[in-house]
Amino acid sequence: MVQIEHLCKSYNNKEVLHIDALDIPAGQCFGLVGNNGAGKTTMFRCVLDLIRPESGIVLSSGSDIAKSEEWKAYTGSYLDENFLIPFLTAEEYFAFVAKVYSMSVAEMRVQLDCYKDFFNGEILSQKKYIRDFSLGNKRKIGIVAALIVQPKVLVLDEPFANLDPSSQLKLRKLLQDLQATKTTTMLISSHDLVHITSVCERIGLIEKGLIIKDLGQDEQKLKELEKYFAP
Amino acid sequence: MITWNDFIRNEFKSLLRRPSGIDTLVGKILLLVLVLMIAAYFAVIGYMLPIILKQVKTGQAPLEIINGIMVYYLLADLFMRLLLQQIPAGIITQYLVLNISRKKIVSFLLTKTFTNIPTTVGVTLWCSFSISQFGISIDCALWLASVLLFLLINSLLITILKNSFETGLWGTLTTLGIILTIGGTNYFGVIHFSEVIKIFLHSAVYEHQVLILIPLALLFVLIVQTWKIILSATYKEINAKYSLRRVTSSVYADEFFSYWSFEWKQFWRNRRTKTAFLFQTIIFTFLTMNNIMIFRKESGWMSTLLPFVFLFVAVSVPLIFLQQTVFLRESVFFDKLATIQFSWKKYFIRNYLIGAAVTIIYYLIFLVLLLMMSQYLLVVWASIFVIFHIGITSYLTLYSSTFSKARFRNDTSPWFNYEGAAFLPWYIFIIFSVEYFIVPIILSIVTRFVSEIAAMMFCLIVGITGIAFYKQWFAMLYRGFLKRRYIMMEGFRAVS
Repeated sequence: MVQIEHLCKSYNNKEVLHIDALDIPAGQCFGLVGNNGAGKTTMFRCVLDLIRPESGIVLSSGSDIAKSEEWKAYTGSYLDENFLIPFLTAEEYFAFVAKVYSMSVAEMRVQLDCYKDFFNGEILSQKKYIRDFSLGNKRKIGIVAALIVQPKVLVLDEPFANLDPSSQLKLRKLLQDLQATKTTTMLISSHDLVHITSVCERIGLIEKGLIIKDLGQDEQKLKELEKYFAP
Repeated sequence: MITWNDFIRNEFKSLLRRPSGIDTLVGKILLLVLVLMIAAYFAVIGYMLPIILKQVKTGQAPLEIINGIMVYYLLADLFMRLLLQQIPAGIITQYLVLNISRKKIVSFLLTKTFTNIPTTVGVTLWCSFSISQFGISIDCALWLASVLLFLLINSLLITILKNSFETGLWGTLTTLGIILTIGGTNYFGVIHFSEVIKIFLHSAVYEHQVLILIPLALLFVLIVQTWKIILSATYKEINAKYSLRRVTSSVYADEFFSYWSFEWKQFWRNRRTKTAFLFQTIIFTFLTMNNIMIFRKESGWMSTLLPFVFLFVAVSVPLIFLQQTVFLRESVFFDKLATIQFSWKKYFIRNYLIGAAVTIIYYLIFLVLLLMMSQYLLVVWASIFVIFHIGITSYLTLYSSTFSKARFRNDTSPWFNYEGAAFLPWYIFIIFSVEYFIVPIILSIVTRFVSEIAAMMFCLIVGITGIAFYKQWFAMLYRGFLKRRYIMMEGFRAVS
């Protein structure tokens, strides 16, 4: 579903990302872990065509994301709060996103109902703008906005960060359920090894722009990651 | 699918829902009043321009004069854009990851490039001038369209100039070079650019209509070039480069220095404050030089503009003053100060004194100038203004800053940018407007109904009373500030 080939990105002549080949099949949940500045967000930005790599291509459903914009129709993403529209209310934002993806209001409401528990009564009907929500609630809004469009490809950058423990568990359950349907290809980065190993069936370990380990479906991946990140 | 209507609706929401009170009904009404007031101001100037120009007694018609000096207006417009106009890429980050084609986003941004303050001011000013010359007619529309065409060319040109170089400095230097070259060569008669502009302005109205195709072709070429620049700006790395530089230049010290040096660093390492300061200094220098030239030429009609010029400069004085108080609204600074033992009273008084000192320095420069020119009435008038300003308006300005809940982005323009965001919050402009008009209004009303002496005495007494009761002023300011301190901190968090 998502393929990366010879992807290189540099800032000020310093290479920050170098991925020779990465193939994420349809329906797979791919986790990305790495230290700060390892290149996780840069990779996601390349996948979303937000930055131009020096070389290499990212293919989504076989087409180059830099040349065709068809991927936007089936891709949902949330990177950080800068991708929210701060002066809208949560409802307005969801309605805007729904409109962009040609969803009806009724469809949007049905979708939002699925996330009522995740919202914990703190998001909808609050009569406040997104900018006035806490960081955690902003993240919830962004994640749900990415999910309600029922994407075939879902890109989430550190979705568990800033969430309270109960919301983290709810999100984990949501992503696990989504993964079980095998309808959505997911790319998720996180610093939380427990969550990411329980959600993702495959984990890439990124360090200084290189994917140095590609851990598949084995029981030992959490232990291996813990061993790697141990001080 | 998203339509242009959705884009525009979001733009309006972004403007009307800005923090610091504009989302209230009163805020919206005040904003509307402010917009109407500013529009009326420029419209009146445009309409009155022929009357002022008739005093020149050069035998030329006002339209001829304006067509002749239009090149200087356009250069001034270009200069304003150099300071004010930003590439309007900031707000679209959110759209880029949604199912909206980049082409549509770039088209929208390109249209946004045309709509900005210099263009709006130009259209308002020249629209009323055109009506005063031609009446409401086809000729009026054509002349205005020709001017608008040049304004749009300027709008695109500045986007290209500011974004075609590796660093912003080269863009600035190139633009200044172009302005000085065209202005200089025209002034000294090497190349008559004013005649070229004149031809295009005439051609639209009288003959050789086909000539208008030249600026149209230029506009088209610039649109294509600007399209490319905006397209590349929609890639995050371009923005990242700029924002990175801006954030780096305005990065706050990791450790807390004494607030004096901290404040200075915050000022000097911040591109916005430096730009605003530079802008004012240039304006002030220009106006001072302009005044000297006016008096040397002893041109009667220009002398009548002096009070207005003085007023303009007087308005820029509180702007410098506000730059001191604006630090209160910088959340990082505020939060740090709020968590340590800190004398807010001293902070306010110091800022007040700095503002007063700057006002007095400006006043003294003008005083020398006015005395040299034997403009004694203006000396009295300026003195009253300064006393009134120190005693009343500067205090009110400082007081108003304690109401702000806004947090400013590091990449915010010193003035309104395309997103409607500004370094100074919207209500400061209302205060400016009040400051601009309050003394003339009081003077004219009291003069009208009593006498000029009484008007001057009234302003003088009010100003001196304000200065005499400064302790009470500050006690009130301090109480108000303490009351709103936590709301402000909450506000900082809320809008962060």
